[in-house]
Amino acid sequence: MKTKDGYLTLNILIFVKATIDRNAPLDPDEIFPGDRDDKSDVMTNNYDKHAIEAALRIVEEKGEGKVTAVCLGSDMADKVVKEAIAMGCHGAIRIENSEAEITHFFSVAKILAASAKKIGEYDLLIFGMQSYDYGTATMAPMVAEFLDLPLACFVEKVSLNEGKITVEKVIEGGTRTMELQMPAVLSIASTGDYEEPRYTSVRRIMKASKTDVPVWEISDLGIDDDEPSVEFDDIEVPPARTEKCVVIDEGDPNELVGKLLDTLKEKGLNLGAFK
Amino acid sequence: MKQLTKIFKTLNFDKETQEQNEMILDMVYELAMNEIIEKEQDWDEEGAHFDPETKQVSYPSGMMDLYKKCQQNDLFSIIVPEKYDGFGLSYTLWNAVIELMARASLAFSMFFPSQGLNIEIINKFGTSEAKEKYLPLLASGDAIGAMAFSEPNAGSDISAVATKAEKEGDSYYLTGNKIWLSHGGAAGTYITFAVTDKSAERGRGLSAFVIDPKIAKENLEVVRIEEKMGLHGSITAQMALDRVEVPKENLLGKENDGLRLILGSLASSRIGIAAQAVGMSETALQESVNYSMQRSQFGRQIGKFQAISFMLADMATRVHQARLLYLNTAQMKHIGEDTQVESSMAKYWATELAQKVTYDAVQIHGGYGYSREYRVERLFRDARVLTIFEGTSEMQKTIISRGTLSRAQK
Amino acid sequence: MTKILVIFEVAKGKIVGLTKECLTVVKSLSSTMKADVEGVILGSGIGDLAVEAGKFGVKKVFKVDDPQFSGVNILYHTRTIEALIKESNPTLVIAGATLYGQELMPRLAARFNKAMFASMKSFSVDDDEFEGIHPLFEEKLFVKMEADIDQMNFTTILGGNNPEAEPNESLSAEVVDFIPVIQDSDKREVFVEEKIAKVSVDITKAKLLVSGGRGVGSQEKFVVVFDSAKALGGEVGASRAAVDAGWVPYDHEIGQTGKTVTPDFYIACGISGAIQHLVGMRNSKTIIAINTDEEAPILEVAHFAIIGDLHEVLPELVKQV
Repeated sequence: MKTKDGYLTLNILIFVKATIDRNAPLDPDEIFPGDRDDKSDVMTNNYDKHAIEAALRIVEEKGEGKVTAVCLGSDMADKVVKEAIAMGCHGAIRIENSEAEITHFFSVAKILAASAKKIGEYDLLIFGMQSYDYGTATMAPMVAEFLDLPLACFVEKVSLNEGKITVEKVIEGGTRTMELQMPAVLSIASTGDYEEPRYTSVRRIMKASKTDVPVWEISDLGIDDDEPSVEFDDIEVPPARTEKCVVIDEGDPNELVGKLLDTLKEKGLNLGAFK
Repeated sequence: MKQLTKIFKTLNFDKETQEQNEMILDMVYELAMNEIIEKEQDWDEEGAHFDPETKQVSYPSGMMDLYKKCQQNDLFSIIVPEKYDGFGLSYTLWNAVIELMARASLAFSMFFPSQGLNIEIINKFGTSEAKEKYLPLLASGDAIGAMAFSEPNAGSDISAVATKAEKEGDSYYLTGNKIWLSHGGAAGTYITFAVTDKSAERGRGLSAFVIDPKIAKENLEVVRIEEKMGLHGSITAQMALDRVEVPKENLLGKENDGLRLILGSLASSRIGIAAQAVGMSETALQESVNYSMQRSQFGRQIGKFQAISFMLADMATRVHQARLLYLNTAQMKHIGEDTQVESSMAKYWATELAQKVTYDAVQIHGGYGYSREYRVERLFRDARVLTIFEGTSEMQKTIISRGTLSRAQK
Repeated sequence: MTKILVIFEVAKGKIVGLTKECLTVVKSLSSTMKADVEGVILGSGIGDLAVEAGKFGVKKVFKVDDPQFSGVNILYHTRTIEALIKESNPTLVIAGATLYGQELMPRLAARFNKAMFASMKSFSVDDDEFEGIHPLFEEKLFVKMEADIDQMNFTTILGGNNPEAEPNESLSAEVVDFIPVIQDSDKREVFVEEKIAKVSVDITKAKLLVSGGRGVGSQEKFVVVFDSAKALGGEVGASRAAVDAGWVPYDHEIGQTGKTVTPDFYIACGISGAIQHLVGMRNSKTIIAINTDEEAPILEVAHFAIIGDLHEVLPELVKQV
């Protein structure tokens, strides 16, 4: 926190996840990065990029500080870790997840909480608001609970003042402002102040490729082996639509509308019923 | 992207460099396909601007904002030597970056090949003052690098340049006209030729210079910009030089030796054009693939008809071939091999096949391919210039045949 | 006695729509499980709402009515509901997967060292198991989740998949005052204020909606959406993009952070169809998309689509209908 020189120094941990790339083909049998061989099928969870942006901006706006990226992943997640550094994180830690790839959100939350404990010093633990693959949005709340820390989810704006942070978070129809004591946990919304995450740059990419990323073992984190109380079963492919959309695309607007109204009429649908 | 990365893996970069290559390409791909490609249509419709009153040129709206992002991401420093604030990365990577930019917008990608050429020529032939002054500016992108070669009577025959350079004291004063100048009026450095020895044989009396518009001031003026078939978003200017001052530190190489020096370097910019052609062809291919799988006629997606699927197979093969050709040539240059002939081969091949690929793309789109609303319509128009500028296909073939003939054995 | 505990969420002085969607799920669960349904409602000055909660087939409503709860502090809610759970011992704790539910429920579950059924598209019970379907990759795939019924379970229900339960005036429940539990450590989170856009229009009752998205282009151009809606006797809807751009007030927003609607006709103009919007309108009876992009995701839920410029098509539509 406050150093001798009076600077406000901050220690931020940002948790990043590797997911299957949005543009990669989706195979119900291979939904995790560890299932794939091709690194180009893996991307940084896009929601995490807003979180990285938030962490970097908080440190930039308030003076000194350090942002460390933490990632539970196999070596397929290497590029995600490097990308975090190339965006501006000062360092990173990867927790090895190759052997029996742990993916259940409950277990992952335990691991991430334990890793924060092992790191020891932190003022903020920052997460993306959800993951592109599972999208349970449970990481931040569960880790906050395991570490007994205050929490705010879906945060759009953060300002620091003397050991506390003021956050604006999204609620239905508006925003809610909360004040949290640090250390605290935040999940960052994809809208708001951090909606445009910065690009990497050649300079930072060069730095990232030269940065050594320590790899920790889950067994060193001292976690109990409890099975999560809720289990995942089969993956299902959504049923194909029985009736496809009727696409009307030929003719000028007059003809297009004419065709639509004729088709609706045939099906007994009357658009003019409410005039 | 996958194709590009796959080819890079075969090029034997060390692990750390390859990691850098992949991360840089990922970043450029994101910038190109998330932001630049979205503006491509607007830029084509708006075009570049010239105000005849103030003689000022400007790019279409939004283009310079994206240029600034490229600056922030250090893209222009990729091949600048570390000594001059650059990263000294491979020429191969540089050309792959050009390809990615051209996938999004040919007009936007025009910033890159000429920047690379300015950097290379000034680094190789510039005085130490010129290098110290201009290389950092080019590395940061604060100066846009342009080439002022063509004149009304000197197109393919660059040796017919008539602009004269009169030496007075410590400077040269250049007078003449330059045409087909990309970035004319907006550039920070112009590399050009002028006649320093009138009595010399054709081509032997030319010197090469770096014109600095801050020194030239109003003596270097844009006369007009061209309204073109395509490439609307890029400034193509005609400029008049009226005793433009060029200090002697801005002479490139030796007096009267300009042509020989520069022609040698032009080879490397050709690879950049090949990369642009491949980028455009890739987008034309992708658009055609998407369209074929979505458009249905006669009860099924047209991509399932052999007429179309075979066209797509041909397009894909051609694009792959042209990509291998330019990337490999770039890698050859990177490891120090002479690539005079190979660069001409890469440029000639890629640009000619871009004509066929964009033509086929329009054909696959049917009526929509003729509509301004569809990307392939613009790709077709933009692609036409590729076989003309930076050395026509005929000039490339001349270079290639000379190279081939020189291998004749008695 | 098997119990289900429903967390009633309150916002803008009302019971939230998604809580009512949950109650539909709870009704079917409680009959299969033969369970008693209890509710908990937290806030300040919520006496009336506690009574209203009783009209949804709940046996008992635990009311936490305290000025400390006038602003939502999720830590206070967590601590208090935790105490209630320890007293009451429900088999299932359920809430809507609103932004509040998504923050509260995982905290509660973790407090009891349990995983949870997070954001369920569907949720049901079988002899000895709870079963739910959770969407993956923005609904491109789905995964089944299961847990034993003889342990405590926590679940949140995704919006847009169940109709809202209707209150039954003939029903009532015992309303019990529950003392809030707040520890000092809970005061590490302090509620400061809320800024909520003023609501002046309720589009959820409309039978016809003309809805505009990013493709409309500007605030001035949005007039065509308003004019068309008026001419056709319907209301105006909007995607989040249009609301965020300031072209139309929040009252008209449809989607994950806006309203859920099920009109007879939903005309989506210049809306690409991101999942966050689809969850708010995909159960509309007839969906007509007007878009220049034949590949826009909205066509995956639309019944009819015109590929054209909404600025030309909408006026034509108004003319010809």
